[in-house]
Amino acid sequence: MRTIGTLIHHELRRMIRAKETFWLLIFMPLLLIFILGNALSGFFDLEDREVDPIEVGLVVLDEASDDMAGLLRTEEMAKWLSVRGFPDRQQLLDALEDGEIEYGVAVPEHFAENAASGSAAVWELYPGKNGDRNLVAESVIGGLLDRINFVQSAAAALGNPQAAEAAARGASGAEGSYVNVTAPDMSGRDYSALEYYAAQMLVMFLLYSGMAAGLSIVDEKESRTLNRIYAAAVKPIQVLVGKIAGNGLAAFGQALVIILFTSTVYGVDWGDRYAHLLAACLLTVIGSVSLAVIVAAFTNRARTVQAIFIALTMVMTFLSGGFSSEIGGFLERLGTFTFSYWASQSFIHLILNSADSIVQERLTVLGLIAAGLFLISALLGRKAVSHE
Amino acid sequence: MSLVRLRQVVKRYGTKLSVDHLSLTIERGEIFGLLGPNGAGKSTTIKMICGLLRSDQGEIEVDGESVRRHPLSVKSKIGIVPQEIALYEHLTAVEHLRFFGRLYGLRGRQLQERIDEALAFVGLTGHRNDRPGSFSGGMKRRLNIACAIVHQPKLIIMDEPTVGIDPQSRNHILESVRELNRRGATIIYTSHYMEEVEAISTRVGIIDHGRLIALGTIRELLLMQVEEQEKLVIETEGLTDLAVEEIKRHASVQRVERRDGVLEVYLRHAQSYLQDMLYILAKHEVRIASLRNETPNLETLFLTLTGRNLRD
Repeated sequence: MRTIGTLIHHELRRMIRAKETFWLLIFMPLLLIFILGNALSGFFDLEDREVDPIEVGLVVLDEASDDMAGLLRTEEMAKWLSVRGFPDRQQLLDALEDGEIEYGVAVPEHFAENAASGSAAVWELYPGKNGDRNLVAESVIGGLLDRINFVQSAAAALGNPQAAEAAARGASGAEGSYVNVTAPDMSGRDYSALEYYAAQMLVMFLLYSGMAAGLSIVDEKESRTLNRIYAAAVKPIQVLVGKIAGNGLAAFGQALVIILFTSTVYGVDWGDRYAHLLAACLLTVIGSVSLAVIVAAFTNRARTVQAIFIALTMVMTFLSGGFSSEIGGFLERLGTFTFSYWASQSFIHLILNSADSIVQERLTVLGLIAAGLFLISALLGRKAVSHE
Repeated sequence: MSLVRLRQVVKRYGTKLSVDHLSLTIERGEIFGLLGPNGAGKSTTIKMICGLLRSDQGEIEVDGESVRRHPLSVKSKIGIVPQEIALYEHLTAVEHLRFFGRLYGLRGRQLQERIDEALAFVGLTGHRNDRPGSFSGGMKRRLNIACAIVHQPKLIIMDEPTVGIDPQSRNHILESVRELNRRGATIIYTSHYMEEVEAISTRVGIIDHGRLIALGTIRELLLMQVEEQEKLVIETEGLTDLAVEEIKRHASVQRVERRDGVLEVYLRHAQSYLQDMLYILAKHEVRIASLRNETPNLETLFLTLTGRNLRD
């Protein structure tokens, strides 16, 4: 254990002393989150922009509300929304998850009856993955619902006391609105551009810093210091564990700094499920360090390792929507096969305050991929740290 | 009593035989010079002794322990000074020694004392907090050595430790090798500089094509070659063919080469037959401008045995 401790300490010191480490692993992600987050926020200024109709899924579970829901399909709305019907809520959520639609609307059972009686009656709105498109959809559908509220109020003025009560709530603001914006789990939160990129950049740089383990191994081979370490009474497994743990700890430190900084300075709400957040960080780090070991097993040149890592990180980040949430159907589907997709989805759903089941589902997939990579790296580990 | 023992050691890289049934014993307290041209199998042999490479066949023991069966224990008794300068740019001199000292199991006060000793030994005490980036080539070499001796090993293996350094640092290193030996360490020393090996080694082994082709003290090896042949170089005036022919016919002479007026006579026991050579030349009225007897050294021995220069 002492030997491993010495190797971990050595690894941490190596990273801390490298000037580029601070710039690359701490400063760069914070800067990119700021730049990308604000650049995307600018896109929210819709008055000056042409917006393609948003693919909206609609499920009407209350027959009496068919006419009202039909207002979403009017010619006026078609400029903003392209509505597609779904038979039930689950199919709508699945389509939203798969990216087939960009936004979801559900008119729940007994909506019309409840609205008429003055009971709680809301439309459920399900934001998709694209923050700016969500805002547009909310704005358009919200406007429509306001008009419906107004009609209801007018009905109340004509003598229907229950409807009048509903209209009064409608006039008082959101609490009385028929609209309820919700994440697919119905927990009721959306994310900002800064939050979206905070999650994406956290994953990208965790991948990169975890992969530094591979660079470190190959660097030691190139400079012959690995031979020197093995000349001492050190086993290959100790070197491997030292490298993995050292770089893993550094990646954790990096995650902590990014989360704390974005939380306090950029106002990113990472949620209050710290165990899940920790698990997401841990699994991402395990996966990235394992990838590093796998790559290091096949090359002895630091430049090659670096090139592979950069390419791998960039491609995975792009496919998982890390640079732009709108990358198109095929690429987006391809992205679901990447490690970083499941890592970023885990963080995004924590930010969205999604239900535990949804977060855990993503964490499970992330964990399975990380475990698979770890298993492969364990098999190739000896080759990776071999000095012969 | 032997410290290192190799028995019929074989190492192959693919189909190439790098070490070919090598048997060798290195005694405690000696400075053993290991010589051989590039690709002769020196580095492979050293790596196998250190436990960095596994032999395909044969047995290697260090201090009575099998390298194969007890690699960690054997490694703790060895300090290796690699041919390449294997240092970390981000660590200071003292941090290097602390890191490697800890890998060898040293801790606390003992570690600190050993670090101070090693730095003083290589003359880097005043640079303990400097990084290798600010060091000269010689200083880096010395730090390279300090890293290998911080745990005070019984066996120190130095693989070309003076490559590319200034004469002052070279002398410092050679003096350090002698001092380490005086303090009780056994040294295996490889170098391309034959005069270094001659100057410090108590015994020399010459390896070629993975086999040991000569082994003994320097005196023994040189005597072996002296008996083989010496060379008389005679600058003459008025050298005649008849004189050359008569010299060639002398019983002790093996070979004669003539370049203009310079005569090179290869013979056994030159001292004994010098008078004969002078008599023959005088008889043919050949005047002698200069005469020198070239005795063999390790360089010529190496050339004779391997057919190659050491730096080939």
